[in-house]
Amino acid sequence: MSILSCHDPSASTHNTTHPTIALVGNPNVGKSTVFNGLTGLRALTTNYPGTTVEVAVGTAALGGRTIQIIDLPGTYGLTSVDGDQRTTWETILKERPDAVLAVVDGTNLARNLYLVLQLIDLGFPVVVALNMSDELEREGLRIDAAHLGTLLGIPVVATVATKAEGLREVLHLAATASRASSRIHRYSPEAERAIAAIAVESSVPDAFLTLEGAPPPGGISPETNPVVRAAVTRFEEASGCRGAIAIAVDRHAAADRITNAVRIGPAELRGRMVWRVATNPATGVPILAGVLGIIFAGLFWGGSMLAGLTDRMWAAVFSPVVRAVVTAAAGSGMIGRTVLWAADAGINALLSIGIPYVLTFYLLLAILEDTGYLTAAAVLLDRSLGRFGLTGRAAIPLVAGAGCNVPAIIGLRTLRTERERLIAGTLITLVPCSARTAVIFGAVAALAGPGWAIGLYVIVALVISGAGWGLNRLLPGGRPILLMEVFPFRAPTARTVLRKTWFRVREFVVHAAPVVLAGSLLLGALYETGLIRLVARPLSPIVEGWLGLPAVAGLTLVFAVLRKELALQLLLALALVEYGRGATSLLAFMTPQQIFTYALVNTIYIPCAATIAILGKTLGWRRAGLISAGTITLAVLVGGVATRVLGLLLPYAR
Amino acid sequence: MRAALSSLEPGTRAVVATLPPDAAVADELAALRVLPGEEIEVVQSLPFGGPLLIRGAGGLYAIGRGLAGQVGVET
Repeated sequence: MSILSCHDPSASTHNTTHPTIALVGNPNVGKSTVFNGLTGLRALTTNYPGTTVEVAVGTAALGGRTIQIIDLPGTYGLTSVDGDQRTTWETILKERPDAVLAVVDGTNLARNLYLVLQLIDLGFPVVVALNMSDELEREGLRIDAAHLGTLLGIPVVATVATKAEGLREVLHLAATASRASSRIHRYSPEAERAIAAIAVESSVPDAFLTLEGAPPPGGISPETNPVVRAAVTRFEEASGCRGAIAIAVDRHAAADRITNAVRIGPAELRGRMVWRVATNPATGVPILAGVLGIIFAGLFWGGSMLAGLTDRMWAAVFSPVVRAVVTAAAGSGMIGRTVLWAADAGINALLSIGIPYVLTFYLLLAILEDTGYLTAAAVLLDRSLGRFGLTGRAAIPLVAGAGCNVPAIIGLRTLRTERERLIAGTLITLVPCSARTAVIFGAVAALAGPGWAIGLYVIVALVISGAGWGLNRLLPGGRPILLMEVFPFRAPTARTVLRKTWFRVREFVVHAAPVVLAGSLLLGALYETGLIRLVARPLSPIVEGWLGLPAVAGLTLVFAVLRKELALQLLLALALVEYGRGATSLLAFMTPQQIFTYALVNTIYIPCAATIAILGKTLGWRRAGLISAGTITLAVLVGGVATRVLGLLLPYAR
Repeated sequence: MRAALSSLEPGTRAVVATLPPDAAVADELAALRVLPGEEIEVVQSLPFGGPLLIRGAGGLYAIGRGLAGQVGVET
């Protein structure tokens, strides 16, 4: 029984009235860009592997027909892979697409063709999008797409996904590719003999699956079929290695032959020098420090400038209008004042804390992602992360966590073992996300000084290191393995950087604004009715006694379980109502030292609701509960100790 | 001379001879074209047991020191 001949529409989850096309390709070849171009959707794109960890589904219209398009995680091979690459094979088997659109990086054709040949061997109808044709030309290379199509026996279209060139044509060809591609390429005589012998019992695709050590489920197998067993044994003895390795050798050789026949121009040469510099500790560590410094400076100067601008604009233009409208509609009594908490102070806080810093951070992150520098950082940090039981691969989700913990935790699937996922998942919740960064910069750096902010990051880094080291000692299991491709650096383009920043900030505003408005309305009601003292009282032993913060500040920390930046926004709204306009009014009821402790506790304690939810889904609810409880304890402990140490040190510092 | 990939200095070229015993890892290396008979070059070797950067016909890869110790090469 072939994997394609057993097509049973009821077994498939996709809507069978629409033809389905699956996007398959190596990591970082532009699949998500092709997907966005075809569907008009907005899957995120980066210059490192593992961006698409979930299967994305979209539709494209073609001549009045609707075509379903599935974007799959990047993979180097189909049958014998781990982690997120496994998803691709499982999805392809389950969804049984009508055609596979193989996206191929023209600048590394031979290695990319391995996957295309495997798709053909396994009997899928394949159409090739020969992507990055523009980069090829820049390197003085050209690939004869038509000749490549002839040698492979399938349609090949040159595309530039970033400019949407060739996408309609390739979609049309994929939508009309109805039957399995015929295999033109041939492997070694031993391999072909084995394939022919097994194919008699079943089919050519099944023969490949069997030889590659992944016999078709419910189909033929060397264990039950003596003819198959004899063919596999003969092949492995003749090759002197496992069948999977022998087929891989043959397939790479065929990919090489085809590449040499279609490539016009010199053999590709890509810079190794820049990688040597970026990963050599003597030069790489200063570069890494420089990158971090630029991000810090960008947030400090850029973020605070933007914050000041929006704050002044709100105060000068919008606030008087809002106040007049609300007072006219609801009066200046308790109800009117409560509404103003949300409509004036709440929005003001969102504009002067949330948006400016989150926007600045996402802009810097988008630039960093598109250069491909993160892979260099991953290589450089591999040894240090080894102390936490992780590999350099974990550096990518950990850095992503600095944007938002939620996608970072989804990205844990790229890690190989459950142990790595658990350790990295716990550490990600401690990484200050953009919302927490907004609190650190909006309060600590802006009001207490940048030195305080750096100190806070040092403490958080020590907490993360301690937690990583402890988890690695506590959890059973061995040292994981690192194996990942490193990609050429690319100059980021303004278009993709701005697009990505815009989507992420829009997402932030859509999710954050309602929560901030509701939160400030609730806090406003508590404040205006005087209930706030009553509600804050149970917290006072910990908040006032141990952390040395005003009790109402503790209340805003409880609210911040919803969203991290809410803590400071509500505190600011409180300060605005009590002490008048301007972010500096925070200093009227909290000392710099208290602001520091406040931001520190906010950074470390319990991840926000969205993070807890995704943790529960990814690692299990018991672990999510443990992580939440653990971080609350840690935050209270670290915050209290920091207050006391600062209390001892500060008199001497002045 | 037979050696472990992990022992090579940057700039050294070698031919892959044996893959790690774990079939899944070996197959993944095979898909990347790190295969018996393929020539590879060590581009970078990070100190203190850090990873190696290797360049083969398939591309440029980072490979952890532990895994590199399980890949046999002929220099």
